[in-house]
Formats: sequence, structure tokens, C-alpha cells
Amino acid sequence: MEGDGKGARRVPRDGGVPRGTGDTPGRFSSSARSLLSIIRSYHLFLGLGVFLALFPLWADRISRPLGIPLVMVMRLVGIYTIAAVGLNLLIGYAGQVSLGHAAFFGVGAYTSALLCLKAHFPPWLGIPAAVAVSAVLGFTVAPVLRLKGHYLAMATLGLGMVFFVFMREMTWLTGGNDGLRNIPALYLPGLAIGEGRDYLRKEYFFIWIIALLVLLFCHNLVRSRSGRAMLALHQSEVAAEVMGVDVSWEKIKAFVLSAALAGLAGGIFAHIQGYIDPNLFTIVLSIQLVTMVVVGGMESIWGAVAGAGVITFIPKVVEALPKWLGEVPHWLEKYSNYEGIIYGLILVLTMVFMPKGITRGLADMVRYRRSPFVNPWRKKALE
Amino acid sequence: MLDFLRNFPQYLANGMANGCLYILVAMGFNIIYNSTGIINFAQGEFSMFGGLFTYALAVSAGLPIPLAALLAVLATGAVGGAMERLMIHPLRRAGVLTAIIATVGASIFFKSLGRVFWPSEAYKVPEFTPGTFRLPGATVSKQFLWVTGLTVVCVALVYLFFSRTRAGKAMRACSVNRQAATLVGINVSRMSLYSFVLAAALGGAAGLINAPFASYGMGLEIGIKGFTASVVGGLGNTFGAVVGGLVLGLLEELIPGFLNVVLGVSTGYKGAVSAIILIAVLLFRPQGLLGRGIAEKV
Amino acid sequence: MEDILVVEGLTKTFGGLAAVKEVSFRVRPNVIKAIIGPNGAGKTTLFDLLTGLYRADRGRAIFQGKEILGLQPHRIAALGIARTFQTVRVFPEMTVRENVMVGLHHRARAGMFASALRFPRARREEAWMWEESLAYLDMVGLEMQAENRAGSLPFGQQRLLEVARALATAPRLLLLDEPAAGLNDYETRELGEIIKRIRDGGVTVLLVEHDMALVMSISEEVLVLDHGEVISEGTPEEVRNDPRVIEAYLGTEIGA
Repeated sequence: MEGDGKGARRVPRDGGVPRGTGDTPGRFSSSARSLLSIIRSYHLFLGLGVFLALFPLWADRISRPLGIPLVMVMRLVGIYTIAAVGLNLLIGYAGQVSLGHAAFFGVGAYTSALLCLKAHFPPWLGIPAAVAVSAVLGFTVAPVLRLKGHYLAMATLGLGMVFFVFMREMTWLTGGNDGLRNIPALYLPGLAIGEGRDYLRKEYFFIWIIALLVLLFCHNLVRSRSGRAMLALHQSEVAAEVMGVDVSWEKIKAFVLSAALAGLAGGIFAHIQGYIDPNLFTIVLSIQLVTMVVVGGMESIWGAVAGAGVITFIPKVVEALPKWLGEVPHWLEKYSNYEGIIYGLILVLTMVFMPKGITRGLADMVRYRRSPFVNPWRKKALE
Repeated sequence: MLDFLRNFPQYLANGMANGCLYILVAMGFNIIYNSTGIINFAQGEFSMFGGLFTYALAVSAGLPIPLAALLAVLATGAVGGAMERLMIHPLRRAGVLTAIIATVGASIFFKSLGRVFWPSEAYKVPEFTPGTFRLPGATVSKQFLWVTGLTVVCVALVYLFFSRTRAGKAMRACSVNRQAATLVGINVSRMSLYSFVLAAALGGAAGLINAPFASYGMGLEIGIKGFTASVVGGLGNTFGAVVGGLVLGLLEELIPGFLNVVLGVSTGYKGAVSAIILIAVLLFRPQGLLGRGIAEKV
Repeated sequence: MEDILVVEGLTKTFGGLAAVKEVSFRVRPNVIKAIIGPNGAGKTTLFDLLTGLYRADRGRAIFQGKEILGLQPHRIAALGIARTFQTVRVFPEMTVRENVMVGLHHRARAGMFASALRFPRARREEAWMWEESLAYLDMVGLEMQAENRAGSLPFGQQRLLEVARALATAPRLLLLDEPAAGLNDYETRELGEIIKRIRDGGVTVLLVEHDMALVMSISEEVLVLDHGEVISEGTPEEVRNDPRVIEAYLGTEIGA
């Protein structure tokens, strides 16, 4: 069992995923063993991959009766997953709040859109450029990470506002409130994605392939040296420092990576929407991303998927309600009026009753035999 | 440059008026921070409630304005109290991250609640005494006098509360050392409740002097500006908020005014000024202009 | 042999109050040196200065020929100084093994991308950390708890975990801040054995401790601080009989 890094290597942390206790490599040949080990480590990826691959086959059939265009919505879930998993690295793992990630999402969207519109880049070059620009911008504003806790949250909220104002006011570049129109659809060299009869399905696959790769990247990352450093500095910055972790650098890395992923999501978003304006990238989006992280589960890669799914589908379900119920009270009609009530309640109730979110709560239940719920009114022995 | 100087008195007057608003919001931030260690991200929404309640009572229900204003402030205080009991109290042992996200959630919730009941973009809250008067170089609404007066009264009342009443003194003790306060028999949990009620009432008062307009969307901006004011004055320094609010109010008029008139920059950037000031102060002078800064403990 | 740590004129004041005042001492390699003194004597502050958590006002601290004052904590750790905390600071939500693996952090090189893309080198390194962590847990007898949540360990074991985690940084000098506080007699004796084994493994130990029986039985040298100043230094015997020390402890019998 010495470390050839394959079969013998057991997995220290599953990113919050419950894992079977059966850990006996047995007497298989080494290649079979490594295959088994890959399946064991990545069974959730395989499961999700299979589900997503088969999803469009039946989704179209039930979309109509359901009143929700499932494939279309799932594209958005994929995009938000990319941004949320990055934000979860920052908030859930490294413990640094950002209430301004819509800025990076927006900068990504604008970068790719502008490069395609004004410099005639193809989208498959525009999107990597969006990632790069968001990352550089993230690095530029990284000094705010010197702030802690509430101060960091307020400062990032402020950053989001500053970026928003600039996106709106630099009309010569961004078109201001009118936004940018006719952003080219996605295509790869030799492969048109965002065109043709099946464009939704093709975009869906494109987005989810990228999302799964991002998830895989983060899944590996959090179980590595860097991931442990983030978790450690979250739990005790002083102890992590004294153990030799360069705390400020680790924070910056997490921040830049999360900014880059938000930029990636934003870049893709611009091309599938075809139209962007600054009002898509306000504090509302920042809070939505945070809600995804919190609801899905901090400190969990899968939480990002669950959170993005739940938060993206809620409005669609509510919009479809009249179709299901025939008639709804009139105040339920205009969803945008009370979506904040739902988000707000979700955030507050999650914090009070299930502070670790869905996936992480469930994982802990399996791993440490702990209830996923907390009772906030329980008296503790020591105040 | 000359135009800028000519407008100067007007900037001062506008800045003072906004400054009064920020003072009240900033004091709310400080009071809650002192007794609970929490930055309440829903503080701006208290002002939204103050404004919308006043509208509802004065315009929709037709009450006389002073009565409507008073009731609106009290009702906002009650909202703050309810928030404390239902959310902050159960979370009193939770970490900073949890507190941040929960109060952000409350802010979204309040804003949306406002939107459901008062869905228009803006409601005109009646001025106490309509009309304007002229000073050399500036036109000032009569409301300005009310705003200043109300702010002075509020600050004075808060001062008396903290220096003369038992509850006020107990809350000051909490801000110095919560644990020690518990040991000498102060009910810290009740002080937390009081602080939310007081902060909400102050926020409500700020909302009603924000006339002529109130809307569901005003909370975020007021919140972040009020917080900026409290940081400029030194977070936790309740009366530093007075300085912070005035400084921010003036800068927020003078900087965009200067940029616009002298350099021709669009006034649309005004919205970014307070956020930039906030970030700059947090990074370079976290203790605020007056000191007693609190760089968060290790 | 050359002294591993030389401290000269180290001073730190908080708001006009000197917590550590003109402290000078030397530490020979491969010894256990205890630092004792009444509460508030400045022992923990001294450790905080030596590990870079506080900035000193004055003075020098030369570790293996290199000035460490003014360096960031993680740099000092990389040079070979590790510590534990008086109030336990394990990473409660990580497993016991992961705690130790954080200690191994600076001994590995794999960057974010190498790890996330699972380059062979990063995988070998990870496997090494995985194995190595168990060796350190073994040293303090926690190998059976490797996969448990660190926060779920009883208090005494959390202290031992901190020791294992500190050792994982491969220090030349280990600062233990009241490791026996809160341990029962049996655990304290065990701890004494572990500390001696650490010393025998070539790590110099600086030990802040109130348990005089433990101090007197395992340390070769004792430094006594009072009100931030060194009032005595020598072998346990010499210190025990030093009248200044006895006075500082207000007549309490040392070693009682």
C-alpha cells in the first residue's frame, strides 16, 4: 500500500460527501484497483454526469405539461453552478464573505461580449479572456481581504456597487443602461452551438461539460494542500499562520479563483442571453449567488450544484404555478415582487435551523451522526 | 472652477441635509454593534420602513403628519425588536459569517415586503412645512430646518438615554465587555433587544426625514452610506457618527460636484463615491477619523 | 554546540504596560527548557513574539543564526519554530488527520493547479502527507482517532493533537504553552514522556507550564519570569532554591 498515488491512496476529504466505509482494496490487479478507486472517489460525478446526459431525453417530454422549459432552465443552473462553486471556495471553505461577486460575473459578461462585438473575437476566445480579466480584477481588489468578517462583507458590497456604477456610466464602452445587444451565440471552431433547431440542447451540453470540469477541479482542489489551508484559516487564522500557512496569500488565491469562475460564468451567460445590461449584475445577483452557496451548503462542492438548482428553479416553479393550479391569488402573479421574500426567508431560516446547508448537513449526518438541523433555542451549559 | 465655487453654498446645504440622515443611520449601526458585535445589514431597511410607514399613515390613512411620523418611528422600532427576537436572539452564539448572512437575508426580506405593499418606485412623503427659502448662494427647503432639528433632538435623546438611564448605562457596559456585563447582572440579551429597537427607531426617523420620497429600494443605499458614516466616525463610537455623517454628507456633494463642474465627469458616478470612501477608510484608517477604531479581534 | 535561540533585550508593551521587559536568554539545542512564572508574567506574550503574532517593540531574537523578529508567522514556522496554544486551537471541523496535514503544509510544494489537476507530483506529495500524518499521530497516540472530527475529541486529546500538528511542521524548536493544563495526573505523566521523546528526537523544547512537578521532572533548564522580567535562570535545583523565585510566588512552595 505504499503511495503510488493510485489504488492505495485513500481520500482524506470528500468535500462534504458521504462516503462508504468499505475501504478494502482487496486482491485485485493494480489497474482494476485504480479503476475501482476512481469510481469510488468520483461516483457522484459519474452519477451526475449520467443523469445530465440522459436528462434532455425525457426533459422535453415533461417540460410542456410542467410549464417549465427544463433544458433551458438547466442551462442557467449550469452557469450559476460555475459561479457558486467558486464563491463556495471563498465563503464556505476559506470563510471570507463576498457580497460583491456579481461584479466579476458582470465584468466577465461585458469582457466577452465587448471583445466579440467590437474586436470581432470568436466567443471561444472571448470567454477565456473574460476569465482572465475577472481574475486580474479580482487580484487588483484583493487588498480588501485584509479586512475581516463584517468589514470584508461591507467592503465587497461597496465594490459591487462601484463596479455597477461604472458599468452603467461608462456608456461609451458598455452602452450604459441600454446595454449591449446582438452578442454572438456560442460556437467552437467547426461547431455551432448556439444556433440551429437544437441550440438549447447544445448549449446545455456545452455548459454542463464546463460545469462538470469546474466541479472536478474544485473537488480535487479542496481535498488537496490548498483546500486544507483554506479550511484551516477559516477555523483559526492564528493557528494556520503558526503552522506555516501563508494566510493572506491563500485568501488571495481563493478570491482570485472565485472571481475567475464568476467571470467564466458571466462570459458564457452573455453569449447564451445575447443581451446584457448593468441591471443584471446588481447586488441582487451577488445575493443570489451567496444564497446558492448558503442553501446548498457551505464547505461543499455539491452544495453549489444543489444551491444553484434550488435557487434557479424556485422562480420558474412559482411562474408555472398558475398553470398547475388554474388560478392563483393575484399577489402571486408578479413573482419579481416577492422573490426577495423567498430569498430572504431562505437565508434567514437556513442560518437559524441548518447553518451548514442541505448537502453539508446531510453529509455530517452520515459522517458524524449529527442531526442536520440545529435547535437555536436549546440552552447550552455555557453561555 | 468658478461655477464650482458659486455652487459651493448649495453643496454645503445639500450635504448637511444628507449628513443628518447618515448620522441617524450610523448611530443605529453603532448601537447594535456595541451591544451585540453585529453589523446589521438590514439597517437601511429600517429607514425604508420609516418612510413607507409615514406615507401609509399620513397619506393613505390621512393622519396628521406629526402623529404619523411618531407612529411610524415606533412601528419601525417594533420591527427592529421583532427581528432581534426572531432571528438575532436564536443566533446569538453563531459565528460572524452566520450573522452576516442572516442579516443580509433579513434585509432582502424587508425590502421585498416593502415592495409587496408599496410596489411603486417612489412615494411622496409630505414635507412637514412645504416651501423653500433662500440663503446667500443656496436655495434651501423648509424641510431642511426640520431635518436638522429632528436630528439634533434624536442625538440629544440618545445622549440622554446613554448617560442618564439605567438601560443606557447597562448598554454601555455591554459595549465595553459583554462577559463582564453578564457577571455584574446585566441582562445582555435584553440589551441586545433594546439596541435593535433603538437602532430601528433611529433608522425609521432617518427614513421619514428622507422626504420627499420613500421607496422599497432605498434601504441598500442608505444602509451602505450610514455604515460608511459610522466607519468614518469610528465604528462603535456612537457620537463619532455625528462627525462621520456630516463629513460623508459633505464629501458626497463636493466630490461629484467638483468632478462634474470642473472636469465634466457625469454625475451618475455619485453613487460610487460613498462606496469608494468606505473602502478607502476601511483599508487605510480603520479606526475612523476620531479613533476608537476597532480592528476586528484575532 | 551553538545556541539554537538567542533572545536579547526583548520588550513588548501594551498601552504603556510592559508585558515583556528586556528579556534575554539563550536556549541550547536538544534540551527541554521550562519558562515558569506567576500568571501575567508574560510567558504567552513571549511565545507570541517569538512566533511573529505580535511585533516586538525592541530587542532581538536570533534563531539558528537568523533574526526572526519582524518576520511573518508563516515564515518563522518555515524556519523551524512551531508552537501549541494555551487555549486549544485545533481546527475543530477538520478530521484529526487533516489537522496534522495542515502542519505538513509548508513542507509540500504542490500549487493550486497542480493539486486540482492531479499532476503526478502533487499526487505523490498528497500520498506522502497522508502517510506521514499518521506517523505524527502515532507519536502522541492518536492514530486510532485519525478520521474523527477534531472538535469531537476530549480536551486532553485535543492538546495532544496540537502537539502532533506542531511536530508535523518539522520544527527545530517547539514552544509548548501550558500543555498540561486541564490534563489529569495520568495524562500529564504521559505528556511528560512524549515531551522527552520529542527532545530525544532532536527537537529543542521551550515549555511554559504551571505544573511544577512536570516542569521539575523533565526540564534541564528553567527560566523564571515575573512581571515580564527574567528573575532567575538555571537548573531546576538552582531555581527552586532561588529566594527571588520563592518571593515571586508569594511564598507558595515550588514543587509542592
